[in-house]
Amino acid sequence: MRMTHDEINVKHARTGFRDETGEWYQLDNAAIIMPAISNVRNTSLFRMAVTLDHPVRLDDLNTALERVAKRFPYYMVELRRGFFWYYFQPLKEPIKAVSDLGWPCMGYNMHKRGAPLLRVRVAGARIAFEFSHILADGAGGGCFLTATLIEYFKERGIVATPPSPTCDVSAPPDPEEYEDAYHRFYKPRIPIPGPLPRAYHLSSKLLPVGQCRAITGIVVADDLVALAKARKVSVTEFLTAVYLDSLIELRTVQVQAGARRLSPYVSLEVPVNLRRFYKTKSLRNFSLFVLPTIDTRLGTWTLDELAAYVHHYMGIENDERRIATQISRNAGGGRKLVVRLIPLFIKNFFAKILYVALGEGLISGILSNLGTIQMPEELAPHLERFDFLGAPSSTLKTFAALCTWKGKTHIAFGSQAQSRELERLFFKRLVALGLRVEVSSNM
Amino acid sequence: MVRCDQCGVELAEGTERCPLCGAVLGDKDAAGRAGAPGPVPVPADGAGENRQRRQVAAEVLSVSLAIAALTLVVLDLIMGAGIAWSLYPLVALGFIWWLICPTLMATRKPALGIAVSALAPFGFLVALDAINGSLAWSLTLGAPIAAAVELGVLGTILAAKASKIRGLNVLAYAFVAAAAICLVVEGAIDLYRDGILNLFWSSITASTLIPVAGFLFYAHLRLARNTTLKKLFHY
Repeated sequence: MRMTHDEINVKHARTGFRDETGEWYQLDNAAIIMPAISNVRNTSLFRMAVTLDHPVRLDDLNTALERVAKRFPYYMVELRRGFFWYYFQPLKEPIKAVSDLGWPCMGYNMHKRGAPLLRVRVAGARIAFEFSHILADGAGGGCFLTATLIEYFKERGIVATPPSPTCDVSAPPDPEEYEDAYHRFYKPRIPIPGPLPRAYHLSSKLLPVGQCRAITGIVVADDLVALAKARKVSVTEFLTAVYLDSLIELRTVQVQAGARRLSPYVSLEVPVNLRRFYKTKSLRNFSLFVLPTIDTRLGTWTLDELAAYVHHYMGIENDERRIATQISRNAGGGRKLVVRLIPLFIKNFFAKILYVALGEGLISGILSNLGTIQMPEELAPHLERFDFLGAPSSTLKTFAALCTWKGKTHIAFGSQAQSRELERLFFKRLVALGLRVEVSSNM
Repeated sequence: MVRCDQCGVELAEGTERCPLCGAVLGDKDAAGRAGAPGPVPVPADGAGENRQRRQVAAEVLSVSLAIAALTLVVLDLIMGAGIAWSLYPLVALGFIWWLICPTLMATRKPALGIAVSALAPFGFLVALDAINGSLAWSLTLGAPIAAAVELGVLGTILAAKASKIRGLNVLAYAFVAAAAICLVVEGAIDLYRDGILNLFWSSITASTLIPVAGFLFYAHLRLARNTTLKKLFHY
C-alpha cells in the first residue's frame, strides 16, 4: 500500500537519528543551503542580546548553560560534511560563555572542526546569544535564551516559571522540537511562486573583513504604534514603508549622480514566522518571507502611499495559501531524488550561484521584527534591554531587525557597508515624523 | 542626553560624534568637515503489503521477460530455419530472471533467495559456453572469477555487519576485497591461457589498494570514529 502524504511528510520531517555512534541530525530545509554560502563575511549568525541589571556572573551563567545544554541536545552540535548533505554531530565539549568584546556576529567559522553553531558572549551586564541560522530561527533562539535566563537567575536565587515546556529544562526534549516543519507541512500539487525581478542593491564599499557595524535607534513603542495606527497599518508595515522610502531615495541619488544599470525594483524581505499558520513545536528554522516590491519606474511614492501599498501587499501575501507555494518550491525541490543524489561539492557550487541569483539577488534589504519580547514576569525587573541583530550579508550590506521590550522598540541596523546613509535616511524620517530617536553605534 | 543637530536623533551623554552623520556634537558646522559620510557615492508500510508488492514485481518481471523471450523465438523462427541467434538473448533474459526473481519471491527466507540468485552468474556463463557446443571456458575461467567477485562482495557485507561502528572501515573492507578479486582474476586467466601462475598487474593493483585500505582503517579508528556510513551517505 502506498504511504499517505502525511506519512511521507513525517518521514521527510524527521531530522534526528541514532546509530552506534549516538545521536546525529540532518539539517532542515532552510538550513541546507547555508553552509555553502557562509564565509567570513556572511557568517549566518544572528544575535539576541539581553542587558541585565547587574554585571553578569560568569560561573552562574556557565552552570546555567550546562543545564540548558541537556535540554537542547539538538543545538549542541557541530557541522560535518557527508557525501550528499551536511549533518550535525553532537559536540564533545559543552559550550561556555566567551567575551563579547569583538564585532557582533563576526569572527566565526562554522566549518571549523568542533565549532559550536551558537555562541554565548558576555560583556559587563550584557549576555549575547549568537545563533547560526543553520541551527534555528528567532523563535528557537528566543526559547534557548529564555531557558538560559531562567536557569541563570535560579542560580542567583530568583525562581521563574517557564512560559512553555520548550523553555523548561526539567522537561525532556520533544522530537517535534527538531523536526523539519517545512517538510511536515508540505502540500503536494501546490504550484511554486512565479519568478521575481532582480532588485536594487546598496552601493557602498565594504568595511574591512571581520567588521560589522550596528547602529541602534531606540524609540518609544507607543509613539511608534501611534504613527503606524494613524496610517491604519501595523508597526512592521510602517517601518517597511520607511525602509523602502529610504532605499528609493538612495537609488534616486545614485541615478542623479549618473549611475546606470541600477535595477528599478526596490524590494524588502520581511520574514514571516510560519508558526502563526502551522501548529508545531519545531525550534529549527520555520520562517519564510514576503517581499513588498516597488517599481521605481512607475513614479514617485509618498510615505503614506508606500505604507498603504505595503499594508495591502502584506494582506495578500501574508496568507497560508500563498506561503504554501514557497514551501512547495523549497521542500518539494529538496525531495527530488535527482537533487538528493548530487554529491555535496557539486551542490555547494550551484548553491552559491543560485543563492545570489534567486535569493539575495531579489532583495534590497531585510526588515525582521521579533515583536514584543515575552519573559517570565519574575525576571522582567532584572532585564533592562533586549537587542536583536540579523545575520550579516555582504550582498545586501545593510539590514534591519527590531524588538520591543518594556515599552521601547530597538531598531538595529547591522551593516558591512562603509556608508551609513541608509541608516541616516531611515532615522531622519522617523525624527521628521515627530518621533524621539535615541541612536547609538558600536563604531 | 545630547542631540545631533544634523539628524535630530538623541545620543548618550559623552558621545563625541553622531554615529549616523559623523557630526561632532555641539558643533553645528562640523558635519561636513568631520569626515561625515555624506550622500552615498555612486557605487513504511507493513510486512504483508511489502510481500505482496514484491510478489507483484516478480510476476510483472516474469511476464515481461516471457513476452520478450517469445518474441525473440518467433522472430528467429520467421527469419531462419530454427532457433539460432536467439539463444544468446534468451540466455541473457534467463539470467536476469534468475538473478532477480528468487530474491523477490523468497520473502520469508531471504537468505535462500539471495543464495539462489547468487548462482545465476554461474548458470549464465555455463549456458553461454554450452551454446557453442562444449564447456571450454566457463568452468575453468568464468566460474572462478564469478566466485571471486561474489565472495568478495559477501565478505565485505559480512565484515561490515560484524563491525560495531560502520564508517570508513567498510570502504577499507571493499578495497581489500577488490585487491583479492584482482589477484583471482589474473590467476584464473593465467592458468586458463598458459597453465602457469604469473601474477603481474593484479599484484600492482593489490599493492596500491592495500595501503589505501590500511589508511582508511587508520582514519576510521583514529580520525573518524564518530562517522558512520549512514551519516556520510544519507540522502
